[in-house]
Amino acid sequence: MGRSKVAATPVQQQGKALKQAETSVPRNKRKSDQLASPGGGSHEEVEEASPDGSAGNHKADVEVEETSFAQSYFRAREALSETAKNSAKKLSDLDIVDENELRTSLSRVTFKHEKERTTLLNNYKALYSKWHFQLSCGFGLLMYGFGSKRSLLESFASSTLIDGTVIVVNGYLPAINMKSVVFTIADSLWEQKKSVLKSAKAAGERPLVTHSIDELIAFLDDDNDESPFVYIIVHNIDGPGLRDPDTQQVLANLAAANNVRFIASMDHVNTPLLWDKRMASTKFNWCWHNTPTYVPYTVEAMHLPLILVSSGSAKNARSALLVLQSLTPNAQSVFRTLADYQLSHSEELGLSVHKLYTLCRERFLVSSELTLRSHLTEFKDHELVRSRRGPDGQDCLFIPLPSDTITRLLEQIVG
Amino acid sequence: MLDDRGMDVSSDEEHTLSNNGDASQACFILHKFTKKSSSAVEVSPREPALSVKRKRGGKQDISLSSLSPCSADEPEDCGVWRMEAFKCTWADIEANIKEVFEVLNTRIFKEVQKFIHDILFYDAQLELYLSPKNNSYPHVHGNERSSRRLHVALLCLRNIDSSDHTMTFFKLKTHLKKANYHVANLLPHNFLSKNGVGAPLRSMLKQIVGINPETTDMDILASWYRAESDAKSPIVIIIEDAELCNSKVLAEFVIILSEWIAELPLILVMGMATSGEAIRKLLPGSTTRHLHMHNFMFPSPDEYLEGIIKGVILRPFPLFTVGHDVLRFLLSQYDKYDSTVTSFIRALKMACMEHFMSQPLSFLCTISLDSPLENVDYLWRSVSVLPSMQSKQYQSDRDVDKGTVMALSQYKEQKEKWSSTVNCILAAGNLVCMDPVKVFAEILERQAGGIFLNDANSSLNSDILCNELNGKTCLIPALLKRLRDSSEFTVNKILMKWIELTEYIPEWKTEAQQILNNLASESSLINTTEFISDGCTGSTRTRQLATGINSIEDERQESIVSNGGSSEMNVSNLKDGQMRIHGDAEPLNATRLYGTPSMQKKIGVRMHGRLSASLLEQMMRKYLIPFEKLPLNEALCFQNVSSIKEVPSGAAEW
Repeated sequence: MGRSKVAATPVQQQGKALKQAETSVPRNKRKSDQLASPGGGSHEEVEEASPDGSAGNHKADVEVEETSFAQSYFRAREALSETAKNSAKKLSDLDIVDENELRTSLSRVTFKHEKERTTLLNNYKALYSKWHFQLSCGFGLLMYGFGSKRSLLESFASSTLIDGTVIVVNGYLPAINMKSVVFTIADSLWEQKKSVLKSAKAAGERPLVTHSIDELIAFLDDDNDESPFVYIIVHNIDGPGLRDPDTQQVLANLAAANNVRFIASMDHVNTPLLWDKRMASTKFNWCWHNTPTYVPYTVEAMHLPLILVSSGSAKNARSALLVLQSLTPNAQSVFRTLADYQLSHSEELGLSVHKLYTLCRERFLVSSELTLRSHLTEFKDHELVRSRRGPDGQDCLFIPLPSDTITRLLEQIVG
Repeated sequence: MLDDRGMDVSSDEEHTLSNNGDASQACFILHKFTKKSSSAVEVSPREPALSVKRKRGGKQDISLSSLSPCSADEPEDCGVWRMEAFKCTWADIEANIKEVFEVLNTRIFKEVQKFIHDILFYDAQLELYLSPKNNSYPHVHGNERSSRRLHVALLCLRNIDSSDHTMTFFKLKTHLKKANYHVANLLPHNFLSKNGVGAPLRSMLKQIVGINPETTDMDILASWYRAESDAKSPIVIIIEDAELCNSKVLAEFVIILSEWIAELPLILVMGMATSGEAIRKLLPGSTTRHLHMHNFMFPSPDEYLEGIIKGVILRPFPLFTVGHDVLRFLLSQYDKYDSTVTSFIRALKMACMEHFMSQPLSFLCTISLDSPLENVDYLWRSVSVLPSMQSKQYQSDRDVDKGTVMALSQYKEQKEKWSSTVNCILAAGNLVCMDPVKVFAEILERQAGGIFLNDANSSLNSDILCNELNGKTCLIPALLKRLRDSSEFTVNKILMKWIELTEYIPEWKTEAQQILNNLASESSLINTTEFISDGCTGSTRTRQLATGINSIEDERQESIVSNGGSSEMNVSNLKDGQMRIHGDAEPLNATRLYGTPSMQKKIGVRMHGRLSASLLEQMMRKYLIPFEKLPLNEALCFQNVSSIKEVPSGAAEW
């Protein structure tokens, strides 16, 4: 009884598929198989044994039988390949639980060893003065070890780094605009300079949003001894929004600037691969500190897809972005039209091809339905778009991604 | 709400909680700087005289005026003294490091400058030769001019990791600018494929012409150069670390420059991490044929390290020292990690910081021995608990003062002698072609194993000592052997060097001088031309002679061993070619030992080599005492290697 409820294993599925293939073979085919068997004689023998002697009809029958045999063979192969696809599926593909439900449940989980973790964090407080001294000597601090280091770093900054403005960068966010980060830092320094040097003139030209990143960093790299400095704390310097080489180069230049003192945390064991030797030892100038906290990564993981949630939408979103970036601007605009419609009409099942064509034509995106269909074929091939039967019997096109993912996707296409 | 420090929040916890809303922002200000909060941190007003000036490329503005107390009973003043001692010590070390780099690099800078000067002279000569009398510069003989190639100076950095040369090209630019050249310094990130050739051209024009041009036309540079009053100066374009540049953009840039060589005196200087030949892999043949390349070699990382060992570690001042375990760790950072001096210096700085952070009496490193000590109460309590000072019995504060000064003086004296001895070993090693860094590493190994302190009768060149080093190469015994076998010329040079280096060890200086005098008096009897050859480049004849002498020496050695005697010699007993071997009742006569007078002359030189080796051996035993065995070592010598092992590059597993 219990057995019947257990999901079929790939081997079982394969056997099932084979069985289906066997049953789908026409009866005459089975007969011919029997005949073709070693003990059953040959086709010619069957032909000879025909009671009415109509050889031509027999020939046609044999052709039909052969065709159906080939069809059933390919059907069986198709079933087999589907089985293979099933076997390649992952745990995350299983439709186990709804995301909201899972997140609610997770938020109710109480974590153990609270007392020990608090003691551990308190023990680090004895090292704060040492870390401060290292920062003042021109080193950068790199905190590594298991557990979220967000509260540790912010506690360190709040209690010890009071001789300068502290700016925090949340590297765990999926997308970070480095230009605005650098501008915020430069602007904070300017305000601090103005306050310390007691005049806006002495503080120099105020940084503008229109300035390039290099110009903003040059402002932070002031040679004046009297200039104050700002502390920058980067949570998860190896986060998804900061992983690309250009961003790391900007961070390294920031860390090397005279008016900046740099603190970062990392969690991935291969993070040092983001830096070359020169960057790590002369620009960041890291002092490594093993600071395991065993604090759950609640905030950091908020933006990551949960492994137990079925859709794996983030993964799909990433692949969708890759596909869309490789398409022509027109194709991207067609996709945007469909996405906008889906976002504004979330209660509807989708958009019919005809309606989509009308919308695209109005916006001068396509000149004929043929062009639109070619775009749609491309989308369907990459699973960017699917169709389902609407209430009026028409095929409705829809994007199989959650609304927030679609919104992010659209932003990224623009970026 | 402001707290007592002037913070915007009432407590750390509250502050952290208040930021939970910022968790979804890419960037936010945790707290702003207020004057009140900064004044809470400053223990005493900042003294401008002590603050280290900030320099380009290194953030050195140590704004803290005090270090946190090492213990609860430590007076506040001690934190301030430790901070000042650290600043003073590190400023001194850093100044020496800069000096080492400057000395080594300036030689190359001068060579490059001379090369540019010669090229200009050559071009001017060519110009004169090609130009008819009536034609004027620059629009004549375009064909001849355009057939000229762009001169490129390839500066080989001799290390795949160019961390040691972060400042080199900036200094080169400054050096060339002093010679009135127009110089632009381009970085690898100027040569990205996404920006194309426009980026390096724009940067070049910005640096030379001084404007931010809208277009990147070389005509701007040409017209500026024609209008420039100092139009005879060359235009030098330096490309740092060319191997990191995008090769297509670089090739395009080089082609553009080579097209303008007829109009402008352009010279390209390229930093190459590996070798000059790498340019042929980097650029296509169609580009390299426009170039005329000249190679320049920077010193190898080993040479920089040798300079730093001599200029920083072996310097008698300041009193701050690092224990041999820490030194071995620093060398391992260099040797096993990335072969850059930068990693050695980083680790040294970390050691220095850790020492002044953790040792309450570390301020003694920079204390003046002439002035009376302050806060003697605390000093008495701290000094008396040090394991190295427990043998001393102090009755009063005055005794503590006196005892500490004596210990400091003893430590200083020992450091001077240790430095002189190691310098003499390295100098001898250098003259007999041994790698100074490896010799220094072996000295540390031997010091760590206490091998120099072994029974004075055992010889340093015995096989037992080699085994004690776990099968590693035995450079010290090899050095002594080579010294014994050295030619007169080499021995002469070594002794001269020793006399120069033994400022702090007068007895060594005297004995070295005595051997040198004896050598000089004997050399007048010997046809020295046969021996003028050092250990590295000895002629076949000299080597044959040395082999002959070796066989005689071996026989003599066997006779000594069979008599149970030691090979130690006393220099003062050496007169008229005689030497006294301990354990022998009557002095040995060289004639009796070595036979014919001609052989005796040759062996006389050999004898001076033996005497020099013996002198070196004695000095090693006497002065290579580990700092860990000296009084007050806890305060002056950083020994806790485990506290810094993971700081430079993290733990291997986490």
